[in-house]
Amino acid sequence: MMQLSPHLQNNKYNLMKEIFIFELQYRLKRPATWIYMTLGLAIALLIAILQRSSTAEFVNSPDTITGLMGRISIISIFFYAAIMGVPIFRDQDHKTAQTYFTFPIAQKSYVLGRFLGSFTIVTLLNVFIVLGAIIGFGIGEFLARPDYGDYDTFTLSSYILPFIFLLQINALLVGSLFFCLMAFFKKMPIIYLGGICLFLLNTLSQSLLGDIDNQWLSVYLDPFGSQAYRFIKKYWSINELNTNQLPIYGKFLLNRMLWLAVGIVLFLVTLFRFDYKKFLRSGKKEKKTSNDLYKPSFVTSITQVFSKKTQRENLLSLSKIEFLSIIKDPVFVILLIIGVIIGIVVLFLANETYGTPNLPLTRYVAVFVSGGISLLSVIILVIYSGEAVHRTRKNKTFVFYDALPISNTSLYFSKIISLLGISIILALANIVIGVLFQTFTGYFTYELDTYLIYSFGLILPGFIITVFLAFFVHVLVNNKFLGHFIVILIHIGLPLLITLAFKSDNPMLIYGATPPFFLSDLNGFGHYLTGITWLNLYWILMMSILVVIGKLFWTRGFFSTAKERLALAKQRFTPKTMIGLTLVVLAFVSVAGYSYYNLMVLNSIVDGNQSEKIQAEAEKKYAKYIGKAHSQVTDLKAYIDVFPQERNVKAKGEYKIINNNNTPIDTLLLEVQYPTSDTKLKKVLYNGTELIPVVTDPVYRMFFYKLPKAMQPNEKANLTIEVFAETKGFANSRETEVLYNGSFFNSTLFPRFHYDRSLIENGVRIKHGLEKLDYLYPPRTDTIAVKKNLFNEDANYINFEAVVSTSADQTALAPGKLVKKWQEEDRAYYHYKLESQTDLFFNVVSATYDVEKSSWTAPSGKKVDLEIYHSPKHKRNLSYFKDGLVAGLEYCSKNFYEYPNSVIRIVEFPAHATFAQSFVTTIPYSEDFGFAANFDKVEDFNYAFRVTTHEVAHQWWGHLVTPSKTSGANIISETLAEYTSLMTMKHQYGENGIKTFLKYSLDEYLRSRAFSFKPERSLINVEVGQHIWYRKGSMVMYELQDLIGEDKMNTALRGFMKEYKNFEKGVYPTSEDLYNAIYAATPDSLQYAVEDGFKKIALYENRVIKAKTKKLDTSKYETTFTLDSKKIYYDDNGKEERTDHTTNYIEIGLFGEDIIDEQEVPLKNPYYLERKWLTPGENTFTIITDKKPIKAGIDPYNKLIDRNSDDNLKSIEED
Amino acid sequence: MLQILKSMLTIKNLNKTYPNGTQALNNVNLTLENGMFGLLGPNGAGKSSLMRTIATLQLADTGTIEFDGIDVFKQPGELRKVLGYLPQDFGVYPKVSAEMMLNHIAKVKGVTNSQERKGYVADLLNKVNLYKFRNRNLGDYSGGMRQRFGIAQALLGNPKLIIVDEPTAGLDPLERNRFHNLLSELGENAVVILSTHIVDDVTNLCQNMAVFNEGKILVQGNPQVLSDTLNGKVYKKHIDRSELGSYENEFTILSNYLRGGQFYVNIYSDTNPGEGFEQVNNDLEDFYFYCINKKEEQEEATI
Repeated sequence: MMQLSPHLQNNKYNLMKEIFIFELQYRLKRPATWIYMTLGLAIALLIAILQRSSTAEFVNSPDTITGLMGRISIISIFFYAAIMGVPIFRDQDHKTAQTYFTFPIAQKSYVLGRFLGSFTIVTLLNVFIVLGAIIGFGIGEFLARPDYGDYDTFTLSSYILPFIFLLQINALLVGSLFFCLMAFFKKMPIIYLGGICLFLLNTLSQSLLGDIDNQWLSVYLDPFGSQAYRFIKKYWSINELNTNQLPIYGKFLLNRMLWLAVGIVLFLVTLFRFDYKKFLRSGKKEKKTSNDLYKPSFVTSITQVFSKKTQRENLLSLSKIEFLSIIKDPVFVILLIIGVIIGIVVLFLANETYGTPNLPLTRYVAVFVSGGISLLSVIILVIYSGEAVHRTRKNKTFVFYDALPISNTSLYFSKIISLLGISIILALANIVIGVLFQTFTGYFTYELDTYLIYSFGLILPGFIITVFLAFFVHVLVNNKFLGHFIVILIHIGLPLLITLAFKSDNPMLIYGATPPFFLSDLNGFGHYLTGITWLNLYWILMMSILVVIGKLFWTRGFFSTAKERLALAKQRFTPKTMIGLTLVVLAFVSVAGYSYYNLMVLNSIVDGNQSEKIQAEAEKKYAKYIGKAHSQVTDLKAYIDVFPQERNVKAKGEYKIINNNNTPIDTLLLEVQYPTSDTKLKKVLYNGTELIPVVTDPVYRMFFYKLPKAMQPNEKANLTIEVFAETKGFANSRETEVLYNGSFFNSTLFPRFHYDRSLIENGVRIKHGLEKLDYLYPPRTDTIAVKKNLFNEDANYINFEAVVSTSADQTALAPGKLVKKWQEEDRAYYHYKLESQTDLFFNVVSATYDVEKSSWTAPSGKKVDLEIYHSPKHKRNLSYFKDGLVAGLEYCSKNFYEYPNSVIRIVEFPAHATFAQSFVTTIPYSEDFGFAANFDKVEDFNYAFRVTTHEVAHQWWGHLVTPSKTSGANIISETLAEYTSLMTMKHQYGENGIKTFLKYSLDEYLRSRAFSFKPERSLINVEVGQHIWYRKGSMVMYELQDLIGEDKMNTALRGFMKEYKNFEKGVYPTSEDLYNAIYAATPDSLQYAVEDGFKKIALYENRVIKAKTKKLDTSKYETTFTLDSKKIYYDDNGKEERTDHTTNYIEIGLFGEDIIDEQEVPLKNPYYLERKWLTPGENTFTIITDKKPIKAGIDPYNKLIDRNSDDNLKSIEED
Repeated sequence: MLQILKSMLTIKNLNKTYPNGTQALNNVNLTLENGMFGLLGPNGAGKSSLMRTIATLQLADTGTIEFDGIDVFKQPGELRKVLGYLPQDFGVYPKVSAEMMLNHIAKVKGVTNSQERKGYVADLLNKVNLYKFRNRNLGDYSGGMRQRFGIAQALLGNPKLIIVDEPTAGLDPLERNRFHNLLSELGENAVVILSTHIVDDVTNLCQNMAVFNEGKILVQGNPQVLSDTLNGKVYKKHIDRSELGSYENEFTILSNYLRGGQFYVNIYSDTNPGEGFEQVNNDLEDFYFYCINKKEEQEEATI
């Protein structure tokens, strides 16, 4: 090594300083720098102002601030690329590099100076972002919007920590990467590529978070730290989100240090390996020569024709050259390959439900592939639109090309045509990937029509408008980065702004939006293509106007100043152009008008703010009717005519009503609830007299009728209501009630007789001057409320009958036994009559079905028909549904009460939602909820079986026993259905296989706690929150039956059912009644567990501290292991109340290797398993087993709610 | 009736000032007929601006250009049909082969018959000695090959007006001769403007020329005639390099140069200055320097 003299070193330092200062000064003088700063500040400001919290989390909690900075640091990749990528690029681009490097500048000083200069600018940008966030939250608080949530006091560290650990480290990482890529590859697109790769890693780690087994990977894979943070905080309570600062320790710190190190390494590599000689040398490639001999053509004179035809040919010919220039670009190829890879990865990751793979149906494959590839497609199109605009400028072809006799039109449109060509390639890529994927997974039922319509009808128009917009922006804006940024801003920022700030989803306002739709095997594309096509046309024409205008500003030759461009534009605005522009504008106006007419005149779009306001106004007017006496239904015979092609439904309800109150009723209130906006009450007959509304509220759809004579207590009457619900044109909603094939709607088709609150979010309520609601339902002590049922207070149990008609090719279904079916005037009629009674809660379904029929015999010998109405395409999984039906019927009939009907059916409905819902005798079931799943691997979660048993259990828990309209009562329906389902699972898979399901429930409950939009209620008080009544409920019930025994539990539940079934007692049960039934069946010593489960929020933190085993002389093994047990009680905001100091009866055990059963399901293999009374803190046990145990565990099956379920098992060391 | 088609380019009162204040064109007036016209001037004289303006790539602030009845500013499209333009520093579509690109340009220039076009392009490629490399992507061409490609595209389609800006830069002597031959062939039937700072090119090729500096035409005429105006007034002397300063004060120095390692100056003088000066066989280069230096002197004088 050579020693530098102090003088030289000093000189070197000065040089670096010189370059550093030059860089700084240069950047600070550039308007672009300040544009980036302003944008950074504005974006942070805007996001902060629009930040909203509907939970008890503060709007400006440390967690929210971290989330905001995380998002912005991803957006900032653009700015970082522009600032950190260009310094060396600038030298390359402006050809200054050649001279620069001949100056006596040491390379390291050069690199260091440039880097530090740029990084200082980036730091400044980050400071602006932080300032934007601080000001934004300040403004947000100042605006005093109760519906946006509460604000905490300003804490500087909440900003400083994310600034350092997210923004700065990310800036360094991204900057180093870009700096490095630029120094070595010299190509701007490579920088884009680098940025995209980082972004993809972030996206990948985000999708990994949804995968319970692989989510730990996100800690290492996420370059930006935001996903790593999300992984760390996943079980945090709201209180922790409000108070915990960014955790600069543990796995988050590990992630940050890891990626900081990557950044530093990249920088050092650049610093030490950068070689300006290499930088100047251009790549040498294999070059083509053709050695065939030249043959003179003897063409002596040529004829030149300049006609319209030549112009067209020129256009095509130049388009081809432009097109080739894109597809031959290696970066394009790389981007496309990355896109294809993402498409396939997304397909693999996303084509599943609850961790079980879906069949690779074309509708799934098409949607997921495009979901994966479309972001990259848009990026490609935006980048190459920019390239197309700048190509001939950048490569200086324009210097001669623009002097060729080619028309401006050809010159301009050739670029657009080439980009449209690229769009088509990208759309085709979707199909190719999809078909290949299906082929490789052995699925050969390709639906090419679906592919083609989806790719070319839905995806391609989006690409086209992207191209048009990006092209126009780039023509106007001469700076490529700024151009890209503006395009992305319009693409993502504008829709976001409209959605967040205006709460509007009007597709005519949101860039590129079309009305919503869904794909289905039953319903195909349904009626949605019409609206989508009109809106696509609307956007394409709007962008076409820009394209025509852009043509006027196209730069040909050396015209550059704004004045010159404007002068030229005027000159180019020829009559021909004017006619063209007028035509496009006319077409646009017509399409816009027609779309407006359909969306806003025939239908309406009510934005979020408006809808809140309507609901608030209604509550102010009608709250006085809540709890007021109204008549109740005892019998309903419904005549319902479904018109699938017209998507209309006509209905007549013949009611028998009664006044069950002890006061007379003189008014009939009817509130229309049916989702179709044009739902008319055609006729209301009371005891044969037609009623005319005295008060009409068409906005909230409330109608008040004066009864001819007041209805006295216990008086009965006949009421007939005729309804017609009509769809018109295309709307901005999916209108899923009546579809071409697969209509599904419920009893809300008819109006209800009472008013209920609909705004439940307290912030929104306060905003509109409504009282704050702690509880939505009356308390359990309310003696009137316990006489109402939770599902519909308009009736107790009723006799139900329905005559349903539909088009001749479809089958229509409603609850009850089919008594008659016939054809009349080319329509099919079905008459159903319910054997049992039901709440006023029914459904109607109509589609073309195949039916799978079988039967089950009840313990009493009664035969029950089992029917599965399914799409002819969905034969594959029918046996699982049937097994679920049988298992549910069997378990409930045996343990609780015999099934009261002689039929039970599962009826498939289209995939606009993924749920199943239990009506009496009839269970509508989404086609996405098991019909299209691949259950070939037994270890995968068979949710078809699981959900079916849950829904069957609702025939008892929900229908036979209906919860009262009080706080917490819904657990009688949901928690008990979940319990029943878990028990059938236990019998199906055995206790050792249950852990998977419990683990899923536990994870779901713990993760969702932070999102409780009301304070977290205990099980007995829960009103909203599926994670409580399903997940926590199933955990609690499983643990309790494990403690006291399944039989004892079922005896208690049987008693509970006997007491409350069919409203025989005159009251509906509350959650307290259920609690008491279980509590009474529990031995005194274990009653703490019932209390913990139902009335408390108690979380365990159990773990194995150490475990050692040694072989005894008897060749047995003696294992000594120490367990730590801790149970903490929390308040409803997740704040720790106290640590339990009593003993708990917890399972401990020693295990061998998991056994894989013959169906490849992993099962636990206990050598020792027993419950022990554990004191809080450490407990040590010594157990002798015959075989050598591998793992020791406390609560090894995760039956308890434990915040860290991973440390409940520990490998045993051997002495 | 037989008509001899003679083209004519007329430039009148052309002025152009760039936004940064540089006056690129200063009242330029030119009338050119068929044949080679040399535009000689130093770097930055505004030659390229003039070329671009004629080639429809740039607007002038005032003035008109007319070619065979075509108003260049109003009907740029018409001019482009008869124009062949080889700019000084141009680029190419890197991912496209020379054959494909020329074929395309031939189409653009109205050669619609595909058979005819194919042969024509092949001939052209052969003329510029690129036939062997016709399938190679333009991006992989060397500087010289690219220049030859540029020549080919400029000559394509029998242009009536050919503008070539520094055409021989980057060509080896062999290729340069080849190009000169091609150009002079074409010059018989077209107006050819050759912009250059290489005096020999003008001497060898042009019947008509102008010296152009600072946006102005300083002088215009036949190269030989112009050169002859200095006959007997150019002297050279071998001096020591350090003496240059004092000579500059005393004489109108046209140029200083090295010959065989010796340092010489050429001066302009109406009378024999004696002092070891010897009269030389003056050429166009001396005249060129004379024009340019005179301009500078005048300016100094006005200060």
